[in-house]
Amino acid sequence: MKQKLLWLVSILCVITLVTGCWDDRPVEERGLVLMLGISPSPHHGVTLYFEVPTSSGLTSLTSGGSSSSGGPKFVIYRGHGATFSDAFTDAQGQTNEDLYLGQTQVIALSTRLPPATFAVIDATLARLGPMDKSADAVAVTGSMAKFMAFSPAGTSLPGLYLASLFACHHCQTAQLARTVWSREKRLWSPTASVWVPKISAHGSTFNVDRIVVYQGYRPVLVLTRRQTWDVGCLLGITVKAPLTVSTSYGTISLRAVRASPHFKTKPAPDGKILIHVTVHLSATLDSVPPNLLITTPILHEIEARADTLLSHRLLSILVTLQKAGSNPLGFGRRYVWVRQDFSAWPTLYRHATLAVTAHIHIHQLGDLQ
Amino acid sequence: MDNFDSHSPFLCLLIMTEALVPSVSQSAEYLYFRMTGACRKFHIVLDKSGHSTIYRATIGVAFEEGTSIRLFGKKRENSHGPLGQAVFPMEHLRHVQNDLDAPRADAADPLRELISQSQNLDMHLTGLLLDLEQVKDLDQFTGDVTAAYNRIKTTVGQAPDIILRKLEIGTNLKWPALIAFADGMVDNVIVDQDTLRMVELYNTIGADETDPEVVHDRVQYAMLTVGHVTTENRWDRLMDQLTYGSTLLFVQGASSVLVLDSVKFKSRAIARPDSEPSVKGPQEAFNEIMLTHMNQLRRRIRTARLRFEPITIGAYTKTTVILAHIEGLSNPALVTALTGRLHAIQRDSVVQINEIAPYLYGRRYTIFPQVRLTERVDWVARDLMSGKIAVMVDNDPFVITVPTTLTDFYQTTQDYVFSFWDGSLVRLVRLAGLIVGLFLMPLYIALTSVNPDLVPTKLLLTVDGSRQGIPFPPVSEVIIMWLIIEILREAANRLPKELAVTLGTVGAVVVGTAIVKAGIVDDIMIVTVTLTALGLFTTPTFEMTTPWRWLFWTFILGAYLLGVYGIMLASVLVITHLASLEEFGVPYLTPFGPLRRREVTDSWIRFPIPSFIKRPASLRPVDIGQAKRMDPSDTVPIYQGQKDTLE
Amino acid sequence: MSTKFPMPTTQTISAGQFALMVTAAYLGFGIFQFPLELVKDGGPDALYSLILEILAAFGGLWLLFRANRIQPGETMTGFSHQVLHPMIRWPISVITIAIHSALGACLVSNFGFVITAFFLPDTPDWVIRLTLVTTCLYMVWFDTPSLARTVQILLPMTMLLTLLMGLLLVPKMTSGYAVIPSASIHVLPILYAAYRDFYVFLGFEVSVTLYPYIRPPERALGEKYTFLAMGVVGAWFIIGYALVLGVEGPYFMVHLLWPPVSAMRLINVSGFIINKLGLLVIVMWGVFTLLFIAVRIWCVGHDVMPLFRLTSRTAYRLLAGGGAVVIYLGASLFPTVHALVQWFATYLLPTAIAYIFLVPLIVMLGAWLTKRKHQKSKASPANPQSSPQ
Repeated sequence: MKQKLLWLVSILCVITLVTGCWDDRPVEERGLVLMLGISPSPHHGVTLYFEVPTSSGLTSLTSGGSSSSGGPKFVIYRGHGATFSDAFTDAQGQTNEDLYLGQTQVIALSTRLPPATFAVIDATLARLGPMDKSADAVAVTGSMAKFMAFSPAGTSLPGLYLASLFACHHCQTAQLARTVWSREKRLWSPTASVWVPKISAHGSTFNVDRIVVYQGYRPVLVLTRRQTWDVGCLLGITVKAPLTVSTSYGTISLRAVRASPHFKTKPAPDGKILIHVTVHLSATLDSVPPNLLITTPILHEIEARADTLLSHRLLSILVTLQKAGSNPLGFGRRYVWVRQDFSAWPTLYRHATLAVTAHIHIHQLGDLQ
Repeated sequence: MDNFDSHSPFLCLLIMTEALVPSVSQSAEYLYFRMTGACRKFHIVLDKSGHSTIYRATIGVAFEEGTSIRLFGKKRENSHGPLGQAVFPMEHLRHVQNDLDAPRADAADPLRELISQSQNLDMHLTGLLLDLEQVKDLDQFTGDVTAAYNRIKTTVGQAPDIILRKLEIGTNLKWPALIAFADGMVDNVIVDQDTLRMVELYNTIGADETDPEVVHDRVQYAMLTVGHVTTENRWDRLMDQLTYGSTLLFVQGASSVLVLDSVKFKSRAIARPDSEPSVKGPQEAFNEIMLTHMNQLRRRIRTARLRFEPITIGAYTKTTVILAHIEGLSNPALVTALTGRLHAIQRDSVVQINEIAPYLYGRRYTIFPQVRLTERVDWVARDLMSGKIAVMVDNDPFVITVPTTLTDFYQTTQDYVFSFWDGSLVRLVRLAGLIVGLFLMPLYIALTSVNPDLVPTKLLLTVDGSRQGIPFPPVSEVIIMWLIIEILREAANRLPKELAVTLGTVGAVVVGTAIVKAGIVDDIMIVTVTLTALGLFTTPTFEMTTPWRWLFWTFILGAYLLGVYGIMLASVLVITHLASLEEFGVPYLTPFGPLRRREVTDSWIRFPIPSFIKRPASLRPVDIGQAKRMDPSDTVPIYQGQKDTLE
Repeated sequence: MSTKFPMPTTQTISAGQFALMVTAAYLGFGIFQFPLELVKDGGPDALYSLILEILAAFGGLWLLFRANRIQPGETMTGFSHQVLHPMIRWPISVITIAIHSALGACLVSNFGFVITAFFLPDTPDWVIRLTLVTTCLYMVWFDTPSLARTVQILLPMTMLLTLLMGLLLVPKMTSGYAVIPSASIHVLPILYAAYRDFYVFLGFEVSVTLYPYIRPPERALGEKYTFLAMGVVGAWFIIGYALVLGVEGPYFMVHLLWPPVSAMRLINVSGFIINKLGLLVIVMWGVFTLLFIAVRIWCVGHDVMPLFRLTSRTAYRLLAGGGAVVIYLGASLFPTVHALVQWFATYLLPTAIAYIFLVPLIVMLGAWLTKRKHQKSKASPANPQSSPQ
């Protein structure tokens, strides 16, 4: 009797459970959003762009890149609305697939987004449970529609292309990949500011060699390529950066400069704070004037010259950032955390004394003396 | 009258008698005669009561046209009166026979058979009553060879393989005797030369040889040249011995019967263990003969402490079950518990070992096998040496060893014949196979339908691409493919080996390719299902594959409903179930739950053999150490047979 | 032949199993929120708070063991009738059972929210809760040894897996500055954070019920192993604290509902069929949850039984079933995770902490008084004889 009862209960449970297939939606019924574009729309609204691969795009991947059928490889659904959810619903209405954000590889944020709108959208993104927080965030300064529609040569799915680019640490001059997660984390910090790589379509390829720095939700600076490299040095993310130094022997070129920065924030006697950045760099000697025989004193002289040059450049970019009120390097994190005085930081930072010391070490000379 | 059908339309022959049918000690509460199938069989069932009581009975014969003829005995009253003479009205039967000969030819044959059987009954009852007059015990040989002849002839002797021969002992003595044996089950040399010939050569050497007991003893001790001769006077035991291949020699007037061990079965040769192959190492399997089982084990374990405890199970089959263990090594409590469970088995028949297996453990409804069946002699020897107990059943080449744990089912001889690196590798491969077999398809469902966010994007896009145009959801694909696999598996099992290979090709190539081309199943599913099937095939013991084939669906259901979370729940349920299993105080998940660090070294991995210095503590052996130096004086000489072979 | 055999041949468990069961009884509860309250209230001194609460947990466990030693062969509910007045005994027993049920309900509810937030957004909450509680009920169905073995297999494996996965977070620790405590010590925030975060150790009071099930010769060893396991868990929490805080940073972390879950979501390992291994580990944390709830259900069964002098397995199963139903229904009472956290912090946390530290003292006091009374009653008839008068 007991066993019969157990069987009955088990069968009832199974039947009850089988009646619902709540989250069971086969992958072919889902529209896998590989790239999500967010840009402002008129009247403080938001426009969302969803890049979803088509059947043709998917089968081209399965058959090793050779598509048996023609047609577009991806489709962009565009949704407008007052809020993120409105725009999402609008886009969902354009497709018979479930727009799925769990595999989103890239989130493109328009720099034109008003800070208030951006803040709301950001909170929405943070609350989305299945949303992949390890997706890469990029900033788009131009037209989002054009950017989303762009497909670089030799690739079928731009979202996948960008994900591969950011996942490969050696495929860029600096590791500019910023995940949605790290961006969210910085937004909550009273000291650190957000920065994300700027991306643009250039010819038949994407161009990723600059960054946009924010103050809160507001983009304040789009750095030049050299400034980006300098900030890269300060952040310790450079990979293949070059450095050209003018010396008494002529122009010396260094490459693959890698930086290891350290900074210290401490109160100065004048009531301000002192931010002292020390950057240790290592580099490979690339090119020297002909007939210059490299000796240890010459090498030291090149290094000293490079130190001076770099210190000035790095200090310069730090001052620029300070003036813009942006702190992408996250100075003062521990200073504020230990003192628990969050509100005073913006003022302290604005008046902080900055100092940079750079030490470059040429550790490889190639195969030539 | 009980069970008497008086509504027979054609003929109802009723023979009433006031025969006194006695009930005797250890024999009948009442006699119940039944003839069925037009008198082709004649059974006597003696229900034991354990006390001597005499019943008056009515014997009736009922006949129904074309169906059955029954002869019933019914207890009329219970009394303790004197023994009476049975009066069986044979003349009535003869009259009936004469009457039936001419007019009703259509009904004559069954009736004649009825009469013939009734005559048998008459003979049998006469024999019984003669015995009864002598010793007051129906179940005891009385010394009357004629009565014995009648008794055997009317019972087991009706079968053509039972040979009964009346003979005379000694050319000059001419003492009446009877020899009985089952043709084909005895060694003819023993019967012809060691028994018959020797008995005929008997010569009287003294005056006292008119005493039957003297004749009996002289035959037993001086004449017979059979190796093993015992005496017995209980009929039930004599009949058992006769049917098992012993030769019975009845000596007129003697109080007991000589039982000659003349058993010689036709047996299958010792073959290779097909169900548990090993590339190297011993290649000997058990056959169906219990004696061979014991010989094979004795050859491997020469200690005198190797015990074989026989237990007979099966009211009809009287199957010999042997419980093998090594005294002073295996836990006596385990032996006692197992013996108790075997003794408690109540079955009419035991024809194969799996019929007693479920009696050895408590959780009979569990899906997991709780005993391991093996046909490898070396494996049983190894288990015995580790402190386990082997249960062997006559006529079955497989042997059970208990207690058994989950990891036992994943260990084979081959794990030990190569280096421990190889042993560990193959075991880990089996574990990997199990994990792949169990989880790959559920994960496929979970990751493609419920939790696609866990999968690398490129892989998911590939899966998505391959699923374009497939009309079924992944779960249906799994059901389709699993059905195909199971059907192919079963078909391959039923076909001869040569055809099975063809079937495998057909299944793999034709069905696999065609089903993908037809767009019913995607090609990744084919890869998945193939890996699943291969993964589960790595299980070395067949009995362990079945649970996983069932439980696989629990994981599928979990994955379908709740994705990876569902798989996790199903896994915990399975582990809980495994953890709940325990027999003879040995948990099924030993050595992982409870943790036995030393035994882990011979579980999913295998350490070098010299590191096994102790027996598994979970078996609680009396002698736990297994790294002893042998006493040189204990050297066992090589047998002559082995010497011959060596030379 | 009887068709039924007694199921397990023994009801006792080993010292190691006891230690692991006690560990399972508290480990699953706090891992989803830890170290949220610690950082929120302790600020830069959070590490001191964590160390303090680990020490407090050791102290609480020591007290409970002292109480258990009074009558090692019986559960505290079982032997309290010998040493406590019914007016004290009954409320303590009821509170014990209520705490177990409430802790179970809270975790069922919490884990349900985690699963629906990250994995199964369209699956109804009741399905998650039902499957969770049903699985737990099956886990306790075969009573103590079976549950102990399940714990023994699953707990260390899941802990190790979590640790290994957690170590993959080391490269992502960009906020290591917050891990190092400040030089200035603020006592009140440290104490308050330790109190607020003590939920990570709530549940080890299961030892009062489980103690008599240790094999008698191994009881001292069981205590030792439990302390050892608590030390390991303490180290595990310190590592977890460093990882979660180092990855998320204090400012962001205090805004998250389930900081460790968010941190684990960042683990992304290429080259596997599942690359979001961290997310998979979160599902695996369901094992901690299951073990925690199973132990709670087991406790409900075994704490109620001595109250009504029940001993049969059927009674145990019925009570365990009842406990499961109570836990399921209790879990359904929390509409949101905020409601759950608030209710827990207001009512359950102080009650459970008071229980851990006060009840053993009360029981020990009761035992001491009873012993004294017995000694007096023994001594009093002897006095006239021994007296020269």
